[in-house]
Amino acid sequence: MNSVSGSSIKTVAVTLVAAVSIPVILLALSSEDPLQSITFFFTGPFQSTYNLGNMLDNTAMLILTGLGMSIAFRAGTFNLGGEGQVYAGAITAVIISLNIGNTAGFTGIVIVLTAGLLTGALIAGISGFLKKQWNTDELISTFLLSGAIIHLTDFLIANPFRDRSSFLISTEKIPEKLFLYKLMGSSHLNISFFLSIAAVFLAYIFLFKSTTGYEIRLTGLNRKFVEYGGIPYKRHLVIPMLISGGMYGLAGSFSVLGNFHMGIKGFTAGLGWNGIAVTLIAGNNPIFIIPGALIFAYLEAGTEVAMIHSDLSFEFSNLIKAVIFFLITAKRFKLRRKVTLG
Amino acid sequence: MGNAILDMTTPIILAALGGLFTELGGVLNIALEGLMLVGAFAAILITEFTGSTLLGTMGAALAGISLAYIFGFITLRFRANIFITGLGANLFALGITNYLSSIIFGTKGVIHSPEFPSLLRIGNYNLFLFAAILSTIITVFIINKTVFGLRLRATGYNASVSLVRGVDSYSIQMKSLLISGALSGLGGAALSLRLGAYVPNMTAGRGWIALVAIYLGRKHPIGIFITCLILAGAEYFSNAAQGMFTIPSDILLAFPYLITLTGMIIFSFINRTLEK
Amino acid sequence: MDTPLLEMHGIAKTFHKNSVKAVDGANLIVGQSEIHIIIGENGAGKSTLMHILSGEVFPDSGKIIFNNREGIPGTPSEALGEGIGMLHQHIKLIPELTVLENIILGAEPSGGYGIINRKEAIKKLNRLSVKYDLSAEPDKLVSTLNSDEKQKTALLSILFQDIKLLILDEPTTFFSELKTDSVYKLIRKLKSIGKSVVIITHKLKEAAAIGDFITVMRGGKTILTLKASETDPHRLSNIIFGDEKNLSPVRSGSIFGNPLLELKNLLFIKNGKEILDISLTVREGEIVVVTGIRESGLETLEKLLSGEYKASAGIIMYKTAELSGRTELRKRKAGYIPSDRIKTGTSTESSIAENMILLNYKSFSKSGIFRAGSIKKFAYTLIKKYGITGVPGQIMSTLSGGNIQRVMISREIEANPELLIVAEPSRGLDIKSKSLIYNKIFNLKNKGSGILIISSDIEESLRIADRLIILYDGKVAYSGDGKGIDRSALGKIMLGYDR
Repeated sequence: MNSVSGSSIKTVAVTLVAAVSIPVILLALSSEDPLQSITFFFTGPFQSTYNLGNMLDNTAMLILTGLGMSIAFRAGTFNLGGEGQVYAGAITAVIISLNIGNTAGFTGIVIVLTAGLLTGALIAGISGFLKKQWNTDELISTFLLSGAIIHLTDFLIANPFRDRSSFLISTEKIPEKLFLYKLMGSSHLNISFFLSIAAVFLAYIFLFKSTTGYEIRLTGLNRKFVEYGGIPYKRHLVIPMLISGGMYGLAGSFSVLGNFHMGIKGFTAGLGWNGIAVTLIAGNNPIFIIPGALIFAYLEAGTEVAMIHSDLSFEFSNLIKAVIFFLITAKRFKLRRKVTLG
Repeated sequence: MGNAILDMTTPIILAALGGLFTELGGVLNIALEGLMLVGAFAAILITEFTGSTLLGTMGAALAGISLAYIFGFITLRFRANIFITGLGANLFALGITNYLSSIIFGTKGVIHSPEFPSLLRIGNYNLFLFAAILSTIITVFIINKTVFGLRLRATGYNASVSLVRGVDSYSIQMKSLLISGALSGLGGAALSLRLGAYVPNMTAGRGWIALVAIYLGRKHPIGIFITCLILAGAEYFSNAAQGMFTIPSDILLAFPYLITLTGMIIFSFINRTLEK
Repeated sequence: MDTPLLEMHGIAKTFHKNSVKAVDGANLIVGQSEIHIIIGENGAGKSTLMHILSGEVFPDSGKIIFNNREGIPGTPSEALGEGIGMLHQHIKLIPELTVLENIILGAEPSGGYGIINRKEAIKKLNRLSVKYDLSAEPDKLVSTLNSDEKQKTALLSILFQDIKLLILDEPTTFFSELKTDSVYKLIRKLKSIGKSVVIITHKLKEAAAIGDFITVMRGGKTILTLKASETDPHRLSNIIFGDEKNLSPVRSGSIFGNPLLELKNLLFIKNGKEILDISLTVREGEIVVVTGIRESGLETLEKLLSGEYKASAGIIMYKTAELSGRTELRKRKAGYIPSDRIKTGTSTESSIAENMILLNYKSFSKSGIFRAGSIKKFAYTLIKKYGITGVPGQIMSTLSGGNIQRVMISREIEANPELLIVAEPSRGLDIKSKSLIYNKIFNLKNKGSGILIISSDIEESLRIADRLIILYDGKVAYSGDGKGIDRSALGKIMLGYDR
């Protein structure tokens, strides 16, 4: 399996320009007032503290999912199950929150976050274990497992944990003492933002300053070399998966405690794929994940504001991601084939 | 019962046959899902406007080919990572169907009109079933008896040897991608035209199941055909169990994924055991 | 024979920037119906020159005229289209396909609509089989063939494509299963029907026996072309290996301790052919050099020691225990510098420092976290001690070959191994790097470590060996202290001329 390596500056630049031009072109084509829509797209995220705060909250979630993905990529493995892992982490957070009764706020929060993290880690870990044990392709197994988990989580929200009094397909609200401290007015921005920044530095230290990180990076770059050095590498088919899934699970539980405060059908959808996009923009480097997540959150926020203020109702998010995925790993941008002499 | 299983499995067989061409050419095509989805959408769109399911079907194949061309061009020409561009193709399919659906039909939801022409059937059987059977036979023939088939397999097994013999791997792999686009597009049409409606993301993992079916079917058209029948059969019987145990629909939706995953695990377990 | 079939003028090719030229202004003229031998040491540029002709490598400069048409083939298919076919040393067949499919690939007779005309293909194959006396069973899978059948299939696949010039890379290594006579017969047959053959070889006897002309290559240049009938093997050997003065051996004290590594009747058989058969002992304080041409079994020996290949018979003893499996050497703290520096010996996308700490990275950490600055300090020490041009954080792929080799040497020697196995220690290095590497190896020896060197470099072998083992065709052709063996004697043993 060819691993995903970092991209050149040129590739990142071309990709970002193309990603920005997608909403611009589509708005120009389909809006009744293209100029206004495009202005909203670019300035919308900064028009109010509510918009800005939500964008930063989204950034925090993208940082965590991006980190999860970058550790998998660094180890030379794929985790395409982020969607399911984040959703399962979130529903675990909801269920635990609804059932820890009298536990104090801080302890409760720690328990809930840990549970979400472990859920994500366990799900991704299964694929890692299958890979190690029987060489089951992790790219496909993470996706299939995630597909199943998404529906099972839908079931939990729609049936056993459904709040029948709500018009939404959702669970009951979690106890208020578990809510994360808010930072910016009515927006969703909360202290998980700082925790996710802290996670970046932890991930950086883990990857670049720890012996395990050293082994993982070498395994991702050249398995032959690791084997030649006499380092047992098989466990590095599992450990990065656990970490990757754990980060997704953590993002899911953060979004419950900090933002949604309940489980709603499909409420974390998109975070899984977004994490991959962010990692790729950041060239798999934990530090660059912060600007990568900011850029991506800005694109998402811009399209959302542009939509609210227009007559349109479609989503760009997938098209933007598609363009990023199409271009970000390109090694060159030659439109014509090599012409040979002779 | 048999009829229902066949209806369920036809789209997957078509997509898996398409994926077989790319697989034999050495390209792991995780974009089958997206190729099916644009096919499903195009079939409804064109049938809606022309009133002809035949034109709708042709449009589906063309839509699949178009997306496959974009996907192939970027991957092969820009030397991009095929897994990432494959994900891109899947997301592109979701995005473009969503966009066109809102622009043309004014909805992001289900597209269905009451006077939609019903699908041709021969006896009790869906016409696409015959297309799937015919495609299976033609695929066997193309792979084994034609110059393209030989060059395709040679490229997939060993691109550098093929290159020495003057086989242009770019053109072979591109052609295989276009075929996979056409067949997956037809698979998508089989899905949406049978229902007479387009539902957002209606492929629901079928492209991935098709991908796994290629391996479980040992990369042989007949093997793939049988694997798809078995997977659909397993799904059918678990759905039938619904009647007995009243299983909620969300859990039913998880079954195809779990059944396919189980098949994949058993397959890799057997492979690993045989290796030892 | 008025105009020659092939003219190559001033061909040059450099693979990586800052590295030596693989081919450096080579010229070659091959007439119609001519058997032309190209001979030279490993790395002389023979294969690269032929790969340029067969369209696999594109030259930096030069001119090719083939069959009165000037142009450089951009791809192997273009070369084939012009009538140039090459049979590679490593058989290029696809085991999953049938014999017929392998043979017709790229030149499939078509019956319209892109359908393969099987009848026509079989007919043509039968014609070729009779003409060249090469039998083949068309519907057998290549994976089920023995090596003899594979070789015939590979040859038929080239002949199927109507060529004018056939390039054979080391044909008698290749056709080991066929009688050498029948290879010669085939080559003469090709000549008799007007085709030309270019043969790359190491073997002097072979060159003299079959060639019309012999071209000698050295250091990427074509030194001279001779009529085969007028050559004297002794003189030719001097031309091939250079006629510089023999360098005196630099052997130090010869007090050897206990055996560290013993190969006892180690045998490796592949496809029924004996590839290697060797016994040797490396003792404390001893440098043992195994030499020969690369194809004589050196690569196989390395892979057996690293655990990549499993021996067909015999054992490898490390001190008192038998070695098996891939990580065994490392577990026993033996040093190993592989010939494959890029894929195995280094992590090219990691930094110099990260490559240096592979064996002792845990010693720089406390509770699993690296101590700040400790790795950098270690890397700077090694960089200074081994004269490496670079800084600790620099990515390996930006270094020259000599510096990459120094990084590997520094890593392995600083770990103070009891036994060090080095494959091709100085391949492609300049004089300065070479002498540094020898010095470090001698230091290690003087500390009492045993060293096994696997090298196809003659000069190196003669200079540093306490014990010299020369392989020819997978067997030990000479084993001794190397006294009385000079360059040309060694060269002759290596080439199988003088046994």
